Amino acid sequence: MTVTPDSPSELNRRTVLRRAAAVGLLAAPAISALAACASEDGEGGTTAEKTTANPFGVGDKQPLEVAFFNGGFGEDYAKFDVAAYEAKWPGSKVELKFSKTILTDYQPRFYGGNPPDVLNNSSPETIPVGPVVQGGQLVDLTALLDAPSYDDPAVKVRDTLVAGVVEEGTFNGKMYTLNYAYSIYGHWYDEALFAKEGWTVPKTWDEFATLAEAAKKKGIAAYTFQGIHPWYIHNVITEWIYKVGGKEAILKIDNLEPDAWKQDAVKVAAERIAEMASKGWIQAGASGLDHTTTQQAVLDGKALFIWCGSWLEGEMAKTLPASVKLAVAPPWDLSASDKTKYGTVHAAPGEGFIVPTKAKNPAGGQEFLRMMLGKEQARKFAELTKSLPVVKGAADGLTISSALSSASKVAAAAPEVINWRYAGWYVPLQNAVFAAATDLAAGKSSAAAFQAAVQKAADEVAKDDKIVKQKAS
Amino acid sequence: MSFGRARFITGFLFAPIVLYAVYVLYPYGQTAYYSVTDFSGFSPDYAYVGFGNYVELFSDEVFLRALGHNVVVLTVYPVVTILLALFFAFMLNVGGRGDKAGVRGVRGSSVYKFIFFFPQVLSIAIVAVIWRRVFQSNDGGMINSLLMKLGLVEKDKPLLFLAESDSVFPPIHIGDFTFEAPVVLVCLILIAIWGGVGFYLILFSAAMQSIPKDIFEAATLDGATRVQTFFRVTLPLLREHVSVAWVYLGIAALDFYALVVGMTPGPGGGGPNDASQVMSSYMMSNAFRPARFDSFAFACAMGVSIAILTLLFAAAQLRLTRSRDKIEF
Repeated sequence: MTVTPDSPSELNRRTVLRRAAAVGLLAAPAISALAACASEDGEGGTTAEKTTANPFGVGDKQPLEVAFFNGGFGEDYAKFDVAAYEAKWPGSKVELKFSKTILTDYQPRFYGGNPPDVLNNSSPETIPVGPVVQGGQLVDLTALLDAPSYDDPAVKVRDTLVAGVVEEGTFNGKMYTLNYAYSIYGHWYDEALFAKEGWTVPKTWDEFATLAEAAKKKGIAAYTFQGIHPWYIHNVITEWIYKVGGKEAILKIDNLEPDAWKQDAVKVAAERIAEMASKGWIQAGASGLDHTTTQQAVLDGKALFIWCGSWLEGEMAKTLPASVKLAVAPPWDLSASDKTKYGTVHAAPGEGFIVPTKAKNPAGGQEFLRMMLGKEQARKFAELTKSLPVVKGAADGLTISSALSSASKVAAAAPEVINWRYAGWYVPLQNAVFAAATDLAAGKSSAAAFQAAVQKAADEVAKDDKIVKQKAS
Repeated sequence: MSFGRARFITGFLFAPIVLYAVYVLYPYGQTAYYSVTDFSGFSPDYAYVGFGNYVELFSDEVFLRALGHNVVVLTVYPVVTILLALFFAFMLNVGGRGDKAGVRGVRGSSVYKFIFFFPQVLSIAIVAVIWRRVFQSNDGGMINSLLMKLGLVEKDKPLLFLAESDSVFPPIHIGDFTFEAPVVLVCLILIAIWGGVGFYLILFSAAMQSIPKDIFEAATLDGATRVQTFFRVTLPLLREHVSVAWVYLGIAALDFYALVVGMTPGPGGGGPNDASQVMSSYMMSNAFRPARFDSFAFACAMGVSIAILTLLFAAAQLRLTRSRDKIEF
């Protein structure tokens, strides 16, 4: 073989690259021209008169495109909803699409100005509402809230929804997202194991501490968390802050008030997690494990409690031993002077639906959502997905699963149902809590370090004028 | 080259060049353009903002940390991979005992070649699954269970590996810039080396096989030991190949995206606490988990910076290792 320098042709790689780079730079300004064309497309779609029976003025034979997320809730309820719409609006052909990656599949269509009429904005990666609202690309769903409900024209849609739906979907003071599923969160445990050992669910920190030491003697960790997915532990600490400090404390956090994370409630909640870690009550190595491994630890009797949503049973169905009876407990009292009573439950609407302004048939899109909020469809959703919809009383009398009944019972008995907003509004702040809370639970940090790290992130968000601020109340 | 020949070649290259222009160059240009705007990725309305994104980028704490991590990978990964690949290639081709049969590799060298090359045929997703098991942070993990059986690690204090953000040496602070090597990053580098050695082993093997055997035999006759043969004969003749390997590995080190996203904690990887964040993973989390309305443009600025850094690296590398005199054989 002969080792020679690069062959001396005119068309060597480097020259081609150099020339091509020049071409690329010239092409760039053309993009804005293309973009300008894309934004020309107008509203359109409303062709009929608005009446009580047809509050959005859905035109006859207007095609509709709806895109659903294909995840834990499956495809069946979407197909049911589409069939119902086509039955009510004969001649309106509904194009139903499913996606596992909403952001990847639908971002180009927002940019291109031809989004679908209804989009189920859910998945690990969703279309971020903030930037899209700022671009004026989402329909304000206030008209939907004030429209007559599908079952009873005398009742507004707004009044058929459980508390919190409007607040959860609100951005810049208007509701842009309709969250359709209602999740109840809490600490899940195996009732059968507790019965066998003669343990009771703790109501105070001292009871929890006694239980944790008893479990430790048996080689069981009292607590575990979904390690590498920090969303879960960030919920635990926020829930605990609310438990200790009440709504007042969480509002300071949501509204980015100065030193919100320096409050005593934050200190107590963080200290409790640090204490669990330092006393060896948390499953060893949990910070490096994933959600299924740690959730399985509870099912296998290796850990007592794990914080999760009401989807837990469905998620773990394949590996759930028959002997295990999952139940949920509200957070126990963390101090003697908690501002909220024992039994307070964290519950929130999720699984968002949006209607883009640049859709061809936004009236049809809103009508589709109005129908989804009808009694029959909401009930079908509960049956098919074993989850609760946001429609009041939709699942009454349905026996769906023992875990979900346990969750519903806990929620019904709750003196206060809690939720917070900062996590959805301020990604950098949520990221900071992700990292700092994981460090706490891994036993690598202290309450003071947690408070300092998160406060720093909160201050940065507060002074960054490129992040649109929201107001919680 | 005659004009006719150029036209002939261009004719054949027409389709690939069009594809390259549409799917590679045009997006490059687009990215560069967006990086000086406040583009959100969703709305076709955006404004020119000058070089603000770049100014912000180089005062962004996480980006500088990620850059530091890339530098660590860049200093360790190529060197170790090349040294190991060279050593193995030498052993497999000329490292065997010299006897009447002349110069040859160690016994069973074809089996070793297969074993070393094997990781190369696995997709990165499979590599991630396998190694997550190996590094799992409880008694279910391969290394942890082994160490627990040996009594070196306590059962309730398993090693965290991929969830360990502590640096293996005390972090060095230079202004805003932190130089550190978190355990999780070291784990990723080990996996990358494991996956990369096989490919470069084959590359160097092929190069060594093209070196005439008589050169090695002459060295042996002159009484050169294996070590001397390696440093005085093999290495100088492989200079070009090592240089190419260095550039490839350097580019891979400045990327490192797949391993970080596939294996590390946190949304989109990069955790714990940004300890394994590299420039490419941070870019993706800005583009697709936006913190503010112009995050996409900010991510574009990151993309352009990564491209420039990579080009500078490759140019410097090629210049440094360019051989001045060619050896013909």
